[in-house]
Amino acid sequence: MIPEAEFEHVLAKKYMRTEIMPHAFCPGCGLGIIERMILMAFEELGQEEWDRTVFVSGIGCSGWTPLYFRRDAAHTLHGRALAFATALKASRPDLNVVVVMGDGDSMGIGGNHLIHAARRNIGITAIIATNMLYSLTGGQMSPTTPEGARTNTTPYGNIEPNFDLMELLKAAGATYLARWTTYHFIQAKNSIKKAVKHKGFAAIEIVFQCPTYAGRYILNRPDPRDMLQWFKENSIPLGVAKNKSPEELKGKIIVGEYLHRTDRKEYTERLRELEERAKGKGR
Amino acid sequence: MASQVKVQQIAVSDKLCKGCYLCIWACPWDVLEISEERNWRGVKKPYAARIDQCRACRLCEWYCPDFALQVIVDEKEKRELLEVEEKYERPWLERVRKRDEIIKEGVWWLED
Ligand SMILES: Cc1ncc(C[n+]2csc(CCOP(=O)(O)OP(=O)(O)O)c2C)c(N)n1
Ligand code: SF4
Ligand code: SF4
Ligand code: SF4
Ligand SMILES: [Mg+2]
Repeated sequence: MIPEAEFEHVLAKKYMRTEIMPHAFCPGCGLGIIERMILMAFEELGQEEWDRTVFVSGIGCSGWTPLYFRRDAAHTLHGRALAFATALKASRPDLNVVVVMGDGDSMGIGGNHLIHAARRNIGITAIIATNMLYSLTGGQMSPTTPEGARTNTTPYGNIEPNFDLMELLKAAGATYLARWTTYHFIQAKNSIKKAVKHKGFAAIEIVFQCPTYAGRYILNRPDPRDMLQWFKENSIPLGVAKNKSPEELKGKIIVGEYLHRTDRKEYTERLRELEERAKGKGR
Repeated sequence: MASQVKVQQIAVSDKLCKGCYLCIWACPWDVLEISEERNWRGVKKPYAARIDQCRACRLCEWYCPDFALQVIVDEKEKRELLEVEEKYERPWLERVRKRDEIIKEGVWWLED
């Protein structure tokens, strides 16, 4: 029998800074499941891919996720993770740049960087952890808070419609898009694998359980088990959703692989071409 | 119903488990239970009450957000755990220790 006092999972031993664990997340927080999805994706991609990966994250509970990995990670300013990652990818196109952001971080304060990274189709993997509000600061409304939901800043119910990240990024020019929840473990892991290999801007939205704020304020389910059950019952695969009316889809999470196109040139390739052209002109 | 797979142990860490019981929620075979006693971190850990029903599907492991639980099927897996420790964790922890010493001595910028 393995002694349980200091026991750590084999994946954690291999990939994580176990000396600073247990992590700072609340009990049952889905961010740990997102960490495991990322690590299992890299376990399957192999050591070589892992060795040339750099993580970048923004501010928020979700910004903490890659900091537990034994890999170089930059914890940047709130909303600016993609700006940092763009510079990193432009100067070192050989690296896998994986960005982990919250919904507020990516679509709220950092929305501008998000659409322009997609427009440029720069080869970054963006993992967007959506918990439907700002959690690090205590449960304020975010661009994904459902209409009518009560939060700290919407005590009478949220009057704002929210972003559909997939439609937004499709229009902006991203070339790989998927949405899953923490319930869809294998699917999300496979999407992360594809996204890391993809040449172009890839975004994966993972809806995760924040029992502490979203659970208590929005879903009225403070127990992480009830939240996962809710994800299970309220997510509809893309193919099934196509035949449903907007009324039937109200309040549901539509999951699946939304887009995978290869017809747009990646940004750093354009940059290299420009370099060659400029050199050819004798400058 | 007893399972065909023989599972040796479902190891749950005292250090890492936070008692969210997502593992119990995830298990389709009703293997896990909440223990009566609290451990030194104040957590009533889950434990394998009916290990003979375990199919080693690892859903409990995957849904544990804190890397606190592992299904240990056979000796090979146990060995793997130790090998990973040898290969990845020891060298890392030694580096961390060395860094800490260097920082204490106030010449941290000399490393790396
Ligand atoms: C420039 C700036 N403005 C505001 C803040 C305060 N702040 C910290 S985290 C956060 C919201 C994070 O929300 P989200 O990105 O959804 O991440 P979550 O915590 O929900 O995972 C805010 C507003 C900050 N750190 N920096
Ligand atoms: S506040 Fe929510 S998102 Fe942040 S650690 Fe706690 S459960 Fe996770
Ligand atoms: S491996 Fe499967 S059957 Fe065994 S305890 Fe875990 S979830 Fe239950
Ligand atoms: S899911 Fe993990 S942290 Fe939660 S009770 Fe089970 S072993 Fe403990
Ligand atoms: Mg959030």
